[in-house]
Amino acid sequence: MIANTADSDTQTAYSIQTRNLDLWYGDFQALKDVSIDVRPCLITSLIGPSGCGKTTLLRCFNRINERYGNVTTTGEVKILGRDIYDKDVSLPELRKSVGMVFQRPNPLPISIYRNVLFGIRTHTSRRQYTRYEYDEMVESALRDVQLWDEVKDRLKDKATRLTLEQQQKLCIARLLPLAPRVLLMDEPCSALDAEGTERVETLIAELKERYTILIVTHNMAQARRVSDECIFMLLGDIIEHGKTAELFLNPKQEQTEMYIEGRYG
Amino acid sequence: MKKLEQELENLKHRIAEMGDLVQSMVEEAVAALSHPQESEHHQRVLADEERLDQMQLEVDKETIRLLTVYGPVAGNLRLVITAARINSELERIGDQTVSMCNHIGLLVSQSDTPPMEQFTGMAKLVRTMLHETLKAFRLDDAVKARATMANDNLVDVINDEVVRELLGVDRKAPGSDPAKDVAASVAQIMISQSLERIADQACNVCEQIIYMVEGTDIRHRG
Repeated sequence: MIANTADSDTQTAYSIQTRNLDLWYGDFQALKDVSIDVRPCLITSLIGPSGCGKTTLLRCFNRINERYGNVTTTGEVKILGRDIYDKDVSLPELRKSVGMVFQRPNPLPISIYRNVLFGIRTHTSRRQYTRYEYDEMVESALRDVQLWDEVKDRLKDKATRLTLEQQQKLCIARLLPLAPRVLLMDEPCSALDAEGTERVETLIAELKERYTILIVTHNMAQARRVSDECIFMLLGDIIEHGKTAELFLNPKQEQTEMYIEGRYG
Repeated sequence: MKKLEQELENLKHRIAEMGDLVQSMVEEAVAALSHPQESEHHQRVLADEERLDQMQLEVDKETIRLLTVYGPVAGNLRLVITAARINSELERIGDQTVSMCNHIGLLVSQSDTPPMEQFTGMAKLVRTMLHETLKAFRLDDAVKARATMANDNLVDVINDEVVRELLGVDRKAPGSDPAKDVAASVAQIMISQSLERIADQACNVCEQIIYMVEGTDIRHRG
């Protein structure tokens, strides 16, 4: 179980820490000796060419890599100071604390209202909250993702009837009633048009004050625009981790420079 | 408002703040011309110069960050590039006010001769030019920028007149120290040069405003 109190933040300046993290798919090593420190209340982007391990690394942080067979993970992954690969860690509790948004919006084919509450209802007993409290959760979550005004009069409509941008915002809203501390986003704008991308980026920037946000993106312009820090990966290695403006202006590693200049990848 | 637009507004605001500081430095330097014995004007200019240098570094850093993070294009790109160039011009105007004060000090120390009368008219023109330039920047007003540049010729004419007068007149009074006379004349010329340079630099800023607004580079067109 992941500590969900402010005290845990005072124990460490970082929300996510890995030490000597290795991951194999069968005999293919996808992550090599990964040691990173991710700060809270910032947006950190994972960038690198296809197959460099950025999505694999992201998936370590809520242990959904384990859903795929033949995965071996060694090393340490701490979230909010707690090693999430400890034997006594509860996966449902971990995934309450560490929410995830995927490339394509994946709303359930049920109402907007029930989508927002799906997570909290799965994680709590049936009578834990009153109808009024549920209503408040739905409004608060939809307001946080700037969707309330657009959908407040049609909460019973199927979520699958929303635009892709609205669906992706709904997928973010669905995480919020669980009071997560970390939001993992795997190319959250790749299915959206330019305007939808801009609005979701604005939303992500507004959420960063309350969460640790880690984004995988293949879009370097997006990484530059939205993130405070960037981690550049190549062939499963962490090549460079720094403040975004600094990394794109004055990269310390030659591989980083070659990648951001478009000379490979 | 989009994030980049907000950031660009902030950048413009910071340049405008630098402009205000530079204007007050020019005011102090002009006050020192009228009251050359009062050293507090010089002191205030020196204190302001430190602030101005710091602001220059910050704006420089900010323009680099905006270029790095947003990769702006078209009008946004011109604004960032223009801000970087105006930043340098304003800092140099600040340097000229320091130079003016130094030479007013030199003049006072070497001679009883007051700063030349022509400086009053010259300073008035320079202050107006700078004021109008900064207004044109705030308002994205290329027409005002062009109109302001026209005053530069008047400043040049007065500067030439000052130099001619100082070179052409035998200022040596009976019993005076020739070395001190030369120092005083040099100080007068340098004061005039500083005012003339401030007017030039205001023109440079105007050229940048025109580039920012219209995308037309009018530098070096005679």
